Amino acid sequence: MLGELIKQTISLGVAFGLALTVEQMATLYGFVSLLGAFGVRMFVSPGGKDEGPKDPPSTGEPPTRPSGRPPLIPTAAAFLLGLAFLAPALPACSSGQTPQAQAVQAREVARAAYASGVLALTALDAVHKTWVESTKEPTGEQLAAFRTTLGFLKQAADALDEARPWVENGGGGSEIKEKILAGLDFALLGATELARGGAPVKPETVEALNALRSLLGGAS
Amino acid sequence: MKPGQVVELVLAGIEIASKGADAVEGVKRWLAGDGERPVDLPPLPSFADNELAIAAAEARARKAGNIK
Repeated sequence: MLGELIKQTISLGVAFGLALTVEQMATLYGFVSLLGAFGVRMFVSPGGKDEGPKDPPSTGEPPTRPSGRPPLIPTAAAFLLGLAFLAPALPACSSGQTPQAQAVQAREVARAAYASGVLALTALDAVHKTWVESTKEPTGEQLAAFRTTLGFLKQAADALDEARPWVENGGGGSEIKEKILAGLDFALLGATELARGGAPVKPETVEALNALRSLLGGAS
Repeated sequence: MKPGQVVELVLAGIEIASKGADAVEGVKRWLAGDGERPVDLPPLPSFADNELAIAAAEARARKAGNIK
């Protein structure tokens, strides 16, 4: 009877575990650890049988901790471990969003970042064209700078173009973010070259590209 | 920085020469919170004009004797 109950409990546990995402498992583990850390200390009676280290022989001084309870340091460690697993999930809990809603929100952020990146790139494209056209008699060095800058802008467009089908139709996972970040990085390189050549790049465009990178979680 | 502030920066940094594209204007309004989310994303620049501009600049440079 007891064996059957244990088997059913394990089967249910496995089925439940398979249905959870890694983040949910970590959250669950965090809760269990916290409950374990507090529960063991609360419910193990001081007078019960002690599984832990024996109390030292009486020396006439009062004991430093009640016998029968688990030692404080492992309990605190379990608590901290539980908290560490729980911490990443707390924002999601506080926002009250389901994983599906979070996925939709992440996709909308990617879409807005993509659209903003394309607009910024379009602005850089216009600045580049004006720069080239306004240089009446360019030197060989300036011509090389025109081409280098255009190369960066084209690479930015290529990276964004690769992200576009995912932005439009969903899917792609973390690759969407990586592609958009790559596009923003190439656009920033183009903006740097434009500024170096004296082209009238608005500082806000560069700030915006950097801010978009931060928004998507890219290292600055 | 909040997403709204990022969008403000993007819009402040944009001066697009060809303002005729409806998709670009639609996205700008959406990002500014002044319109529905457009179905169409803004088009990527083709850079064809830039290639032509560089070719013309190269011709000017050659005429001026700056390059062979």
